Amino acid sequence: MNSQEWTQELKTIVGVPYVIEDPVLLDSYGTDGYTLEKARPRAVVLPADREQLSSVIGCLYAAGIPYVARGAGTSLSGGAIPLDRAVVVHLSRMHQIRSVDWYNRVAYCEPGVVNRRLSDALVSKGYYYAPDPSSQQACTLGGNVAENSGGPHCLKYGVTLNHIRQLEVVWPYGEIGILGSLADYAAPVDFRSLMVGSEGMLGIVSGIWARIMELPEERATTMALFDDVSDASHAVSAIIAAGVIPAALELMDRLAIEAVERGVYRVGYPLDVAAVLLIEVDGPGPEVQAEQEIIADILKTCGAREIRVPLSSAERELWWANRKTAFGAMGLLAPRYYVQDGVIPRARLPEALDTIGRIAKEYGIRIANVFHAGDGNLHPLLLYDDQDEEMVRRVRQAGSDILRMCLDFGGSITGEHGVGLEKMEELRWQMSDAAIEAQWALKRACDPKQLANPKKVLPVGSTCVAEVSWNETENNLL
Amino acid sequence: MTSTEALEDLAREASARRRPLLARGNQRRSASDLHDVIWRSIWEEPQVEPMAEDLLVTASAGVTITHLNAVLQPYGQWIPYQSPDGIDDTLGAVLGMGLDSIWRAGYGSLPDRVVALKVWTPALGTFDLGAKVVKNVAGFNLLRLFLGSRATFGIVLEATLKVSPIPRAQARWVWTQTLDQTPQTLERLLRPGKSWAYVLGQGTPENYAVWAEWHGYPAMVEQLAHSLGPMTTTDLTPNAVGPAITGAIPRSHLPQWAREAGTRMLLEWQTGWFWLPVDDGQEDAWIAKVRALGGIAVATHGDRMHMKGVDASTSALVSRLKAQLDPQGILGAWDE
Ligand SMILES: Cc1cc2nc3c(=O)[nH]c(=O)nc-3n(C[C@H](O)[C@H](O)[C@H](O)COP(=O)(O)OP(=O)(O)OC[C@H]3O[C@@H](n4cnc5c(N)ncnc54)[C@H](O)[C@@H]3O)c2cc1C
Repeated sequence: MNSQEWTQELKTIVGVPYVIEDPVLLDSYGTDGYTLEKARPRAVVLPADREQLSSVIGCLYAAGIPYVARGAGTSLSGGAIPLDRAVVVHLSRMHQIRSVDWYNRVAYCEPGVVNRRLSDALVSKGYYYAPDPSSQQACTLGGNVAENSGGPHCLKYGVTLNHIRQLEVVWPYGEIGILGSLADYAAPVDFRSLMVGSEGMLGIVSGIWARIMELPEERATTMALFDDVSDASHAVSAIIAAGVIPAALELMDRLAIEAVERGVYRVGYPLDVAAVLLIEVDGPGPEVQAEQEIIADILKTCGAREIRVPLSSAERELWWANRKTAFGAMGLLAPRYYVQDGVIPRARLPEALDTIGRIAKEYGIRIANVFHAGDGNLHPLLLYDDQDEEMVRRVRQAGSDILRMCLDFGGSITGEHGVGLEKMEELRWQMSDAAIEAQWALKRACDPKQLANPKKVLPVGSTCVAEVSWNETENNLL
Repeated sequence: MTSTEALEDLAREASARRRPLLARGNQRRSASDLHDVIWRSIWEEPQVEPMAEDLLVTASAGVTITHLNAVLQPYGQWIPYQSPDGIDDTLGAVLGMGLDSIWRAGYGSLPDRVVALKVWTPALGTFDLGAKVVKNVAGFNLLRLFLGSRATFGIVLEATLKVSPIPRAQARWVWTQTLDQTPQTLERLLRPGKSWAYVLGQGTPENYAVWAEWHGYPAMVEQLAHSLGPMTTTDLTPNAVGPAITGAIPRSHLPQWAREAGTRMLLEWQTGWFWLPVDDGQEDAWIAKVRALGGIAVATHGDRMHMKGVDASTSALVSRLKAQLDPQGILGAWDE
């Protein structure tokens, strides 16, 4: 099939307006939340439903054309960037919450449903969808499944994987399959769990049966201010070691506080504070009170300068809005920021923050920390100016050093943002050749022609597959 | 000799003798005959490495759950696993067979606890998957392939799991009522924001016993005692050891399933998890009934991965995976 034939077929499947070929429009699909790379796709196609999606993939499979699924394009690891001149399959038209089964506590959604919209649709009935990435106003459930996304409130209730009952997928050869079931049990070969976190490399998720939960009876939020970031991180380790798993346990350091206090959702943090912890516990009243008391004791022992509780639910909302917009607020401190995402054992948090401070000094850059402290998931935000090439180089190197540190501490190179195109080399640091080969076995079994999201996640041979540069892509336009 | 060396020797032997290589723990859930080629996880000295401050533990496959929990106990931690038939399973068996326990509602599923595995496959030898931290999305979630697949693709040598704090207070209530009343009882018990450790039911439709156990803080137990009346000290009676199936049914089908499965079934009403003793050789028929209700079930004994009734596309995927990880078909057997 030549290029005219397959584009014509795509147009027949989805309708002419839903196949984009205009280079200017294509460029807007060339990047995602990972700002260090971009590449232009050959085309963008927007299917309206599962049947169209399956036909689109069947057509691309027959033509041997690579493709990449796209939700909202908020990936922070370049997952949605179309390498190999892949066709972008944009799922924004598949955005319906199809039904809610209150009895089985599942919501059946199309992949383009925006995360926050699901909870908004449930709240009046006293339910919600727990995983809440900070990008939840924009990111889609399909993207969340592909990245196995987490969020501030995933500490107690688990990440996306723990909230998916059943998936419908369009396999790379165009067939539709159902993985898992509405029952809360894993199948002997648990393809549902293998699909979650597969970064669009094994197939495209076309339907999601997400577990919904009743809103907790009570919720208590505590804010603790510290004069020393190390005291704050000791408090985090101590809370976990005491066997208390809050619903959320987040940390922001001084530079992050400076940024959020310049943003829209100002809390009024004293500007000389070194760190703030946001802690939320939920559940039945007596349990919440018991946990809150334990936490308050630990915070005092660890030297909290001030402990606050919100005076209203509006104040609580403000605290969370402030926290959840922290990444964006970095734009108020520097032209660009690069979000790292690594995990360390929680008991080593104080050492890790010290090391990040040392790395910032060594490379002469500013690093803010806003992260899911309760599960040891660091998000150092490296501030830079993209006009300064030398600085960009230092930022990349500093990011790399942070990931080395995570592995030296026995952790991981990514807790929730995925490998994408960003961390293929680093994956090699974390995994043996045999483990990578086992991953390839799964990829080959699901995607024999290797068309789904090419050149991502899995390194090939002794070096990673080269990233496609913007110019190269442009030259290769059909 | 390390596990890897032993497995490689046995793989050669299995290949030469054209017999499958079988993995065994303490062999309470599987038979084997004289001619089988067997690797036993219990050959190795049991290794348990608690990472208490991080609420994690790493243990070798041959460690029994009782031993594991004895090591964790001084740290005030445990792995909530208890099989209704009272067998003290090895960790490798529980994970490899895809079993789960009565504590599933209050503490989450067992696979969700597993953050890292060391596995051996015939094609690739020994390697690690996951990471010894509570969050990790580096690469595919491949460790899930080895949980529940009964050593079809590889053998679990070691696992790192999240542990739970031993609750500061716990209390149990029991009621006898009719089966039809159980959904209302459940509605009365449920507290948004936290599940009961279990709400288990068993018995005849007319005489149906419901046990509910709360794990948490003393103040909560006091409040529950106030509203629910006197607690009980009666223990759950273990089911007899023998063939059974276990799995879960969607909540909407629980009353129907409770009638259909009969009086021997232990059913957890919050999650739909069940344990159902069945007559020898009847596992497939019962698993098919569960599937018809939209549930998932596995046998509690034997090596065979029950794949009957699975769609052709999934079956083909399994074959393609098997061909790459165990090209000579040395490990286990599954029905295609
Ligand atoms: C400000 C900001 C804050 C963030 N905070 C968090 C956070 O707290 N926690 C967190 O985990 N992440 C966070 N992220 C990262 C990002 O939002 C998540 O990874 C999110 O899940 C991506 O969703 P998306 O719809 O934007 O997916 P995209 O970026 O469009 O795609 C991401 C990957 O998923 C694949 N994909 C998308 N849809 C499908 C589908 N239907 N089937 C198969 N594959 C598919 C794509 O091919 C790509 O590989 C944040 C990002 C930003 C910009």
